[in-house]
Amino acid sequence: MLRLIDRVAEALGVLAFLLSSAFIFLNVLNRYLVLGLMRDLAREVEALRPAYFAIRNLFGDLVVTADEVPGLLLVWVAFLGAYCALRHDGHIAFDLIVNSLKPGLRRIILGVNSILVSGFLALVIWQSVRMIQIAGATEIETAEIAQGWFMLILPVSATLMIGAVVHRFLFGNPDRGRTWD
Amino acid sequence: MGLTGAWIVVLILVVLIAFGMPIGFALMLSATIAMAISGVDLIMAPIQLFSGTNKVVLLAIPLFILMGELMGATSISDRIIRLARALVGWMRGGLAHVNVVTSMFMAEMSGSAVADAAIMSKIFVPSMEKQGYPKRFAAAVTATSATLGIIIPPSIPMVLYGVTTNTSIRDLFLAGLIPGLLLGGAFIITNYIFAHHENHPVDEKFELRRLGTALTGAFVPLLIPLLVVGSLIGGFVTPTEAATLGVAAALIYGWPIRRDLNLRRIYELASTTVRQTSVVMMIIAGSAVLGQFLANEQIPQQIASGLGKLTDNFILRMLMMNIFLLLLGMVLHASAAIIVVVPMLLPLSQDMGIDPVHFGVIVCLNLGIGQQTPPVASVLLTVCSATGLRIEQVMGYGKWFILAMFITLLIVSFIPQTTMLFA
Repeated sequence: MLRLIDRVAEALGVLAFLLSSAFIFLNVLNRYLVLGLMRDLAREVEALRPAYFAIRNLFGDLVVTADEVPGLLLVWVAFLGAYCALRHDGHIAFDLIVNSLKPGLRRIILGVNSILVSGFLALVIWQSVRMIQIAGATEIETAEIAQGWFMLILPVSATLMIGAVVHRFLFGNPDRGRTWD
Repeated sequence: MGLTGAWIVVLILVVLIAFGMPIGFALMLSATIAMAISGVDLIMAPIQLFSGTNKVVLLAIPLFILMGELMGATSISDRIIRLARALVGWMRGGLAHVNVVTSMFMAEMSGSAVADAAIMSKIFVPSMEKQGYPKRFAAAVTATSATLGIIIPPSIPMVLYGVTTNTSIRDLFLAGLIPGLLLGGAFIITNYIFAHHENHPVDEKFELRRLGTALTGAFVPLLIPLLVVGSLIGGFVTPTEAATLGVAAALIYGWPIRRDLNLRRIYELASTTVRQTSVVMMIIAGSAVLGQFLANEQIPQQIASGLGKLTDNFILRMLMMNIFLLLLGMVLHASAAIIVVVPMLLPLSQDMGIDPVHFGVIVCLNLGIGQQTPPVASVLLTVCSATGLRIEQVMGYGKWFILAMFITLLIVSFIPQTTMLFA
């Protein structure tokens, strides 16, 4: 079950990353290829004008959101990736002191860490649900999409991360076979 | 919340980090505690997490990471190495010089020293060992020259510095050019001294025809960094757009043109990129929450004025700041150090009359040295893990390359023209 969740989270993260990159790329294409080169060509050659207008409208609709949506999708990339990184022991931590402790004491400290992180993530779930209730229905500036859809990743990823922290403490790191450090 | 309370929060942060909590979570947690103590509505925590990561410019980070990954997964790296061999392989200690020159070329396509080290250690350490170089020497050259990845543009730490301090990323990239060349030169001189002292071999004789063939082979891959850095410096695109162009060019070259990639491999590379990005983004998210609190309490200004009171002497202040950054780089990951500590040091540097762009390069150089020195030593550890060597084995040679880095740092610190000539 956890592996399936890992795969779905990973796939969603990759999709959000590719989409946000595509928006940026299309924005550059629109600026230099459509509104630059194609416009100049359309000025000179009348037969090209209908094609130019069609492409300009198509790109225009897409790239109008390019200043806003990629940033919002990056929130999805960050938090889904954070879950994946937590599952694979990928987060940056200063583990020199903890690693030098005796196993019993080390486990206690890691346990306290797990409780603190889980507690914080539970707070994020609670407060981000409040945030979505208050501001989620507001549409983003460049498209008719409620910003709550983008905010939704906070409670979802926090829930996933609590699962990952608890699983890691109880069963160890799936990659290295030891507890979270 | 008073000043004492603010310091308690900083203390909590230090304790959480010292006890092994991931730095991003430690930042978020300590900031939330501060909010709770100050009576701020805790809804501000998710709001800051959301707004702290919702920035288009930060998309440059995963894109530069992906560019580095694509470079390693395609034949781009092979072609660059062939060119570097034709250029400097004829010198004594040829392959070590090739290693440095390749790192300089690769640095123009990847913004991460760790990514460069991972790619280069797999390629260079075995081939240098085969030619009779001590494996420890090969690992030391590979690890230290990978630092060029964060000095020569594009550079992920420079993007982070730019975002954190509101400094032009384009200017920072321009400012990194001369220090990058100086650092590469310092490594080549160090290599040269070892080559004569230990009688390292020549890689291959110089041949104009071979150089021509290598140049032709590397022509298209070399256009990629030219496109990225050129379009950015020319003011045609933003850093994020430049990174997107680089990724698109590397993808087109590696997939339909050279057929080094397939969809499955691209997915794997994108997945690795997402994971690596999120690690940095969690620190950014955490510092967005904590940074707001520290700014409200004017902690950066107090630290700056405290440090400033120690001495008025510019040279001593500069040395003090460099030593602090070096120590910081030894215990903190570069991204974390930039996001958390640089806002505190920036007022001091401005008080000293240091341009933020110049300071940005000084920070990156210091943290680059930190990536080579234990306990954190992210780049050194990457090379050690790839080569199976222990840290102390690599450090035997590595310390001399670190000395070369330190000399370059002093030059860059005290001669601002090295960074401000083009910026």
